[in-house]
Amino acid sequence: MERNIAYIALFAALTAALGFIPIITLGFGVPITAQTLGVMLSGCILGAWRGGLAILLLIILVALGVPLLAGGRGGLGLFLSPSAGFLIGWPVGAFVSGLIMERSKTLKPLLSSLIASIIGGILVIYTSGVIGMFVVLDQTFIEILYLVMAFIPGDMIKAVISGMIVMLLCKYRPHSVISRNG
Amino acid sequence: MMLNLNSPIKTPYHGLAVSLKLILLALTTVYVYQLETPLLLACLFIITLILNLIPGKDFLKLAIRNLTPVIPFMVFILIWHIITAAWLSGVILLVKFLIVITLANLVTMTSRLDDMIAFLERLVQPLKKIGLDLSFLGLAFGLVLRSVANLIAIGKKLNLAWRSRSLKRPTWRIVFPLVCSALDDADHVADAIKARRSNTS
Repeated sequence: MERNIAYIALFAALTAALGFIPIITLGFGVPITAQTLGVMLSGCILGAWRGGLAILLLIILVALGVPLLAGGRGGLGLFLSPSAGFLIGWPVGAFVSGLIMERSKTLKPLLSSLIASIIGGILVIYTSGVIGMFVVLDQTFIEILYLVMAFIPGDMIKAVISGMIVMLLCKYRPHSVISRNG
Repeated sequence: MMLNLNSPIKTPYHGLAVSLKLILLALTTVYVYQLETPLLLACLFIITLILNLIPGKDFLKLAIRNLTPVIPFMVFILIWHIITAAWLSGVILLVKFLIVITLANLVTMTSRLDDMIAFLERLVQPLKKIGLDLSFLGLAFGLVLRSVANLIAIGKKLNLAWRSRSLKRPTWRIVFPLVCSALDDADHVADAIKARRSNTS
């Protein structure tokens, strides 16, 4: 119980911290923050339930008014904005990433976590985000897809980074990758 | 890093119960999203501005500043509507968003974090009856708030360490030691909670 609370809280904090440290620099020098990388890592490392709950905890704190999202964003307003679907998709994305990691133990860690990050951290989050935008915006599904397409390459980079970090963890401290030890 | 978005300026809204503010926000949101009359929406937008102006000009400035993170997305949506030749529905949509987001921010700015957490704990209390004990929520919230500052500080140190040895900007490679720090912290925190619980029981 204590260990679960500690892991959930620390990964919620890690995901928040990743929003304040620009760690990926694109080819043309633009630094991008990596909170969705935190979502992918939470699921891939902690597994479905702990990973999902870590991100849910973060989202609840954001809703309560703590500015833990990149750029110091927070508060209820974010959940009423057109992009709210993406935020709501975060815990589900982490859960799905974790589930895939737990169910693909026979695959190599890099491949398993790459697939988990792409499906949970991109597919699930974008599906939730696009549905959210479709509900509130007066646009067709295809138009909204065009609208969000520009962000997918950045998230693909994050999925690859997530895969590499999980691979390194499996190599150097395998006991820490709970999703593959359970 | 600012720890919460609560306004330092005291307002009459601070005295209202969080539950009342949230119910009013939910009802207003549902109502506003159903509206299609530009005139009515404009009136509601003016009322929203007046609500933010009542505590003073400085509060209104703070409210506008809290809106800035969503502005780029709003502009993006408006431009998109103009391109697709639906500018009027774009403007209507924009005003709706501005009303509900400004009101939601007003609730956030005028509700203390402690009160919000207490409200949430009251809200999840009935879940105890079906065997879901969420009494650890307060502890988890505290742990996150304490650890975020710590992990950001570690991230900045990793950044500095990288820069002192390389002319290139820090890359994703600093995430791995950051994740290891979080995992180590989690182990220490778990031991500390366990020790504290066994001492108090």
